[in-house]
Amino acid sequence: MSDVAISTDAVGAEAHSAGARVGDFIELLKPRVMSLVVFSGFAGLMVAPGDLHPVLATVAVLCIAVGAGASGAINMWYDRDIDAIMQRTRKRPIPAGRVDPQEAVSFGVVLAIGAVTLMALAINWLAAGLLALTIAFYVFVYTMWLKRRTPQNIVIGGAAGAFPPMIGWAAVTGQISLASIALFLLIFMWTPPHFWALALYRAGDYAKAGVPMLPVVAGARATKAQMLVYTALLFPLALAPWALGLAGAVYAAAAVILGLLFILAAVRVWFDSGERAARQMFAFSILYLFLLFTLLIVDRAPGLIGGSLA
Amino acid sequence: MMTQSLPTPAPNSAEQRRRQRARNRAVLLVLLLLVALIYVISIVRMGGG
Repeated sequence: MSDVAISTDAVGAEAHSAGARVGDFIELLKPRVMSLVVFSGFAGLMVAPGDLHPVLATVAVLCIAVGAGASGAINMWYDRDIDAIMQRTRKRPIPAGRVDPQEAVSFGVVLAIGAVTLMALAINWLAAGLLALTIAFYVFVYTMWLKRRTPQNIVIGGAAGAFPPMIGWAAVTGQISLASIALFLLIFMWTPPHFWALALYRAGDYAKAGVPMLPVVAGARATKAQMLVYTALLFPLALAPWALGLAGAVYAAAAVILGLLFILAAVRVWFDSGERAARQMFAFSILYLFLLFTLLIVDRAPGLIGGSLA
Repeated sequence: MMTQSLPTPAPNSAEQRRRQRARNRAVLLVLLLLVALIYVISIVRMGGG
């Protein structure tokens, strides 16, 4: 552990004397990240063929949410030294000294075990296995192995954020299919341009903390070129649910429009020497995924656009 | 690796006790919800859901 981590722990221990608030533990779960994970997991559950009792569907979504939150808490525990350096993360509960690091990691581990166990007992073993794999991938592969070692950290690590629709799908069908893999690939390919847009205007922060994000290691120009490549690759992938019969024409039309807008955002980033286009692309990338999955759900919903009432 | 001595905890202040109570209530609430959830899941599963 670095000196920075020691001093962070010392600050943490001192401020901890008053004890953590309940809200601090909720903050450890990274609620904003959790919302996107829960939504994509819910989408996987909704578009999967078959039926799942509403109570069990709610339990499945709850398990995905708690599993994602647990990963976030363990990530905050492990990254407390670099979180204390970065402007964006220095007010998190551990570096701010509001939660003891050991309490945070215990909280995360207990929640992770609880979420996987409940998923296995209430839903099925495949969904539980995928949830366990997601948590393990995020904690061990992304956080502990890749994040501080390679600029490809979020390319490979992005798989952790791409699993939730597969978990939702597996909860309903008990299987992994081509369609659920397509949903996985959609988020997997979306993640690099999403994170690199953020990294472009936070490059100084990452450099200070020694995190080898692509803009820090390869520079802004190379990052922008990569973002263009990934948004171009994402375009046909977003049409895969339609090609596989998972969604109808409304989804396909929206995927084309949103895909073109995403590529346009990447082109604007390419020509922009400042931060504005990158900030806008980061915001749009979130909207892109929310809209795409919303349309996927709506397109399949009975009585709505493309769904059947039968 | 330098050794680090943790600061001596302050005596129980009103704020400390208030936060402790809030955490205890949150844990109680989560446990009660978990019991209710497992009960409902059991009913659904036994009903063939």
